[in-house]
Amino acid sequence: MTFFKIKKVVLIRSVQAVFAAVFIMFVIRTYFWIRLPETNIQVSYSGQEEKLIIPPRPGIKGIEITGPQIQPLFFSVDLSRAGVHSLDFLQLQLIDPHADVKLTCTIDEQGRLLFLQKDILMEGHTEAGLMIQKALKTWIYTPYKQGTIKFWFNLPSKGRKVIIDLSGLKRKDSIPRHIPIYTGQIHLIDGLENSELQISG
Amino acid sequence: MAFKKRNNEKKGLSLPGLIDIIFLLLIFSLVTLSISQARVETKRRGDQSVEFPLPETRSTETEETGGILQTLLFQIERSDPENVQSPKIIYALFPSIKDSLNLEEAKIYAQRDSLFAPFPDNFLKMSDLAFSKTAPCGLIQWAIRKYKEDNFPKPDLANSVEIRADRNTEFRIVNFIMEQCSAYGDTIPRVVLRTLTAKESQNVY
Amino acid sequence: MFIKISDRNKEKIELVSLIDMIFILLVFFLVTSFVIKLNLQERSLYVPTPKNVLGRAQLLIQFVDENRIFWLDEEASTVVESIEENYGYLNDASLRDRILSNLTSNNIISLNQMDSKINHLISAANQDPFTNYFILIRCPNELPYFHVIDVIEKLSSTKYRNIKYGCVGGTFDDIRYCKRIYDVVEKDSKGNRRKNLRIDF
Repeated sequence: MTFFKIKKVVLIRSVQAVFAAVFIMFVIRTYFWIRLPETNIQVSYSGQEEKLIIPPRPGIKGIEITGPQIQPLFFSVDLSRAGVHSLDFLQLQLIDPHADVKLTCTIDEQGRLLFLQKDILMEGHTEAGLMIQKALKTWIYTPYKQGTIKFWFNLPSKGRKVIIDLSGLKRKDSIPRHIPIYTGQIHLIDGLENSELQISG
Repeated sequence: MAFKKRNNEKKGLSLPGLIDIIFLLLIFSLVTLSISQARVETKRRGDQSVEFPLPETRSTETEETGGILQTLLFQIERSDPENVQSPKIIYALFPSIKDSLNLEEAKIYAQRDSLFAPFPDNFLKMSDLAFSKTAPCGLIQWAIRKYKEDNFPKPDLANSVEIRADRNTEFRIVNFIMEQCSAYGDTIPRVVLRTLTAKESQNVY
Repeated sequence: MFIKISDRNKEKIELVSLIDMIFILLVFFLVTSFVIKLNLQERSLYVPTPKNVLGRAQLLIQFVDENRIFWLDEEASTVVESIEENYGYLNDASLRDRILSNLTSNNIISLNQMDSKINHLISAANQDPFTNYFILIRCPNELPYFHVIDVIEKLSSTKYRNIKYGCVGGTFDDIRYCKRIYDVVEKDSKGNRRKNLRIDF
């Protein structure tokens, strides 16, 4: 081979070798860079004030182990029970648009809604009263509260047509004090708008 | 069709191939040289001669130690490494102001200045009060107090005291050092335990 | 038809040098990977110092001896709650003994069982980067401290570093002969009410 051909080959090969070397080094460097733990490659930007955050330190005066979150209970109509029927408010309005029915009911230990005839005021609105009773008889509540619950169906009212008074209810003694009991859905009246309903107590 | 006959010359040594090999060998040597240099440097910087077994861990939350003593270090080892029954000795190793002492040098200074003390054989059976009154515990309390007064003016995460102990060192000793540090509240919020960890992620160059 | 074949010297692919190149690259990678899998290196493990306050944690790992661990997590408060409900008439000492007898029989586990529970904890931590855990490790004085390091090592293999730990000295007898062990309702940092287990020394 002539001297110039060798020179040409040497030049070409040296360029190839340099490229190959650079590429290989880059691959290796990237490989190890990726494997580094995150903290080693984090770069903090200047100007950030470092606040002193002392990591949590173990205490020696007794032990407290975090327990499970306390889930609150909801006092509401128990929809999981079979035979629970809702009251069709629109139908009630069609039957008797001037219905004025008051019921004073009792919720027993099992959450059943109980009432006697003497607890119902429905003079002149018997049909509406019977329709309401038929539905309310099927309602069963979650057994977290007991006591009296009052319903007033005042259909002629321009404002609140249904008023439910819960002030006579008390939480059951068997439920530990630390468990909060919230009020959930306490009626099953279909077609009743929020603006027509008032819940007190 | 006429083909120009190829000259079937006998080819000698193929120079381009040789040149390829030479270049590759060159690259190979350069790279391995840089790795071995890094390794030697690491050996000089970080790989202390471990004269007793430290606890081993694969924890990714460890950090590399330097060869130079950065803070007060308590070294706990057996007086006779060959004899597991020999009493434990604690050395209080103080770094130099210029941060230029390595462990061996600091230990020599500690021996010169009598900053060491053996634990009594029955230290595990002692009550807390009796244990705290032993010579090595007195050394620990004094060393931490002195180092804290000179170097830790206020709470800082960087304030720490190191413990370099034989892996079989009883927890009582380590716990005592931690308790002495905690006496200063958040001023010394952490201690550093020296461990042996497998070197995995290392920069190649 | 004349096909003029150019008379240039075709560059042949040098198979020999290619093979050499491959072998050299192979050797190169083998050597570098061997070099990387290195010796043990001395490294620093940070451990927080104790504090003279109540030791709050999501989990307690108490070394009973070299081979057994007393493991207390959030399930323990549920156990204590049921014992308190059924045996609330007992005095504190008897109630404590009953609770500890129950916990001892169910919560003292081997090191292998502890490893398995820690793996579950780590999977849970890896699925929720916003939940922080603090593990309290209590070790008796006479145990070699490498046992604590072993536990710390297992706990620190999380993706988001959301498991923190601290170790203090203490024996299982401190718990067995504690003053009182009981449930207490407290709000956590997010305002959720939790039933925590407290041990007073």
